[in-house]
Amino acid sequence: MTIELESKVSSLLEGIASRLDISPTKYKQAVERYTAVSSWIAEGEFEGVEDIHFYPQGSFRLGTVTRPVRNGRDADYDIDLVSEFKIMKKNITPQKLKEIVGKRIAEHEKYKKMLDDEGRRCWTLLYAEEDGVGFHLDVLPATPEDISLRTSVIDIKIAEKAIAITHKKKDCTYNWSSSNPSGYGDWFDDINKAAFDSAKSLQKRSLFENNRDIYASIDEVPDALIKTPLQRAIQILKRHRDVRFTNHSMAPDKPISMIITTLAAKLYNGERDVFSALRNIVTHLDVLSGLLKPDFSLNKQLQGQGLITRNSDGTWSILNPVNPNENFADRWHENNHQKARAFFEWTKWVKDDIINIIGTNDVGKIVKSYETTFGQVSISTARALGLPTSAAVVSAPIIHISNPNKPWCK
Amino acid sequence: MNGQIVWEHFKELQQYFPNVSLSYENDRFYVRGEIQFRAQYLDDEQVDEAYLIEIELTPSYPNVPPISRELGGRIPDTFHTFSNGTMCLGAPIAVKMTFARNPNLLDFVRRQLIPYLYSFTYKEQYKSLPYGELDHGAKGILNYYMELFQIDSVSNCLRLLYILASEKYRGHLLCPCESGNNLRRCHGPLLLELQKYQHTAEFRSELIDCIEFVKKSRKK
Repeated sequence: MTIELESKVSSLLEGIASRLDISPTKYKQAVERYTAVSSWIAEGEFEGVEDIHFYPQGSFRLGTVTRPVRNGRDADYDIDLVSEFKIMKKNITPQKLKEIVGKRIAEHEKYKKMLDDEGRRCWTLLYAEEDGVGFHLDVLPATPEDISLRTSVIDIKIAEKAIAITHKKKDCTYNWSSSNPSGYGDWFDDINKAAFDSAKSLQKRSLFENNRDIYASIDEVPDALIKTPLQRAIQILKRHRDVRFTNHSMAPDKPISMIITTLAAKLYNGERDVFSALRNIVTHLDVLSGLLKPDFSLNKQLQGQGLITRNSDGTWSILNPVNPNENFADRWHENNHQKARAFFEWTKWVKDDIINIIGTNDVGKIVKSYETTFGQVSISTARALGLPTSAAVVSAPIIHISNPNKPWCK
Repeated sequence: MNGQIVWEHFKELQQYFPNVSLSYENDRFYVRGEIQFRAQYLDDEQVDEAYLIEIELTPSYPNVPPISRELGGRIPDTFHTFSNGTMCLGAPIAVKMTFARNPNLLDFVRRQLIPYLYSFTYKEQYKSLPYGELDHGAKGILNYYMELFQIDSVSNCLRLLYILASEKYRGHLLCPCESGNNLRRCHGPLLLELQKYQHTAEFRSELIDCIEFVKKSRKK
C-alpha cells in the first residue's frame, strides 16, 4: 500500500466526516439559539439559587457531532445543554428542579410553542429551521453533585465538576442520577490536545477563508470547529454504525456513542491522519473480540488493556473515565451477551468496510465501498477530490438468458 | 429486520453491477443505479445496454420478490408496466416462483430484470420479441396457466385454478384435466407446489378475473 493511496483515503474520510459534521453556519446558529435559551432561563426568579451555569455536553461539547439518520433520512441535530443550578442538592428535589426549569421555559411565548413533551432527563425545544436543517435542543436541569458522592479516585479538578441530573421514571417519580459531562469533556480534550494544537492554525485559516460571510477575522473562528484525526475518526465510526445497523435485527443493541467515543479516545495514539487513527482503533477493538470466547479469563493480555474488561462472573465493564462507578457496558451480558456480540460484529464490519478494503490498492474500489457505507456524502466528497466515483473498471457481465418469463401486463 | 441480509445481497450485486447504491427510506430499502449488461438469448443477437433502475425491497424481502422501475424514461408505459410505473416482469406466480428458487438480488437481476430489459431492447431494434409476451390482463394469466398445466381446455384450466383458489385439494378425486387419473397421480404435485408461492386469496382473485374474461369473450 502506497503512502499516496493512504493519503487519498484519508482525505476522502476527512471529507466524509466534515460533511456529517455541523457546518460553521449551523454551528453559529446553534450557539445563538442555546445562548438565548440560557439567558432566558438565567433571568428567571429562583429562590435559593446563587447562579446558573450553562454549557453543552455530549457530541456538541466534544466536537464529534454526526448528523443523525432517522428512517433513512438525515434528521435534526441533537444538542444537549446542561443548566447547572448552583444550589445544594439536598435543598431541592429533582422533581422541583425539573418543574421550575420547565415552567420558566414555558413562560416564554415562543419557547412554549416549541416545547416538546417532558423527557426523561430534559426539556426539549424543537427548532424547525427555514433551511430544513433543524435542531433538538435538550435542556438538562442539574445541580452540583454532593461532595460525598464525588469519586475520589480521579483527578480532583475533574471530580469537582460532577453534577446530579434529574431522572423521571416510568411511574412518574423522580430521582437523581450522577453525571460528569464537563469532566468527561476535559478528559477528552486532554487526549486531543496535542493534535488540536498542531491542527489549529492551518484549520482556522482555512475555515476563515471559506466562511468570510460569517467571520470578520480569523480570531472569530471558534476552537470547536477545529477537528483532529481522533474527532474525525469518531464521526466516521458513529455514522458507520448508524448505517450498518439500519433495519438490522441487532439494531436495539448497537453500540452507544459514549462507548465508541471513550474507546476511540483511549486508543488514539496521536496518529496524524484519519485513516491511520481509524486503523489503529479498529485493529485493537477487533482483537478484543477474543473476550467473547469461553476462555476469556485466561487471556491476561486482552484483559490488561483497561479498555473492555470481562469480569470473572462473565459480565462486562467499560468504565466511564471520569466516574469509575459508571459502567457503560453494564447490560452487555444480557440476552446471552447480545450487546457485546453486536459490538464485536460491528468492529468486524468496520474493519472490512473501511480498513481492509484499502488492501485492494484500487482507489475505484475503495471509493465504491465508502459510497455503499456512507452514501451521498461520500460521492460528493470523492467528486470534490477528483477521485473516480464509479468503478467503471468492471466490464458489464454477460448474461445467457434461459427459461425467461414472458412479460405480462394487467 | 432484513438489514443484514439486504446488505449482503447488495454487496453481491455490486460486484457485478458496480454502479448501484443502497438507501433506506420510509421503512424499506432501495437499490438504485445503472444496470449495465451484455445479454443473449439462444442464438439471437447480443445486446449491450445500460438502464437506470430502481429496485424496491419491501420489509418482507427476501420472502417476496422486489419491485422494480426504470428511471431513465426509456421504457414507455405501453410496454409491460403496471399503472404505478413498475415493470411487469411476468405473470405474478411466475415472478414469485423464479425468485423463490434463488431469493437474492443478483439472481433477481440476472434471471428476471435483465431478461425483461433484453426483451425490450430487442424489440426496439428488431421489432420482435425474442421469447414472446403474455397477453394483457386475465387472458395472459389464463394462457400462462394453460401452458404451465400443459392443457388446451379453458374450462379444465379454470377447474384446476378453482382447486388452488378454494383450498379444496383432494388427492383421491379425479383430476379436472380429464386424464382419467386421480389428482394425486396427475396435476396434484404441481398444484401443491404452486400453493407454496401464492396465497389462496391471490389465486382466487386471478380465478375471478379469468372467469370474467371467459364470460365476456363468450358474449362476443
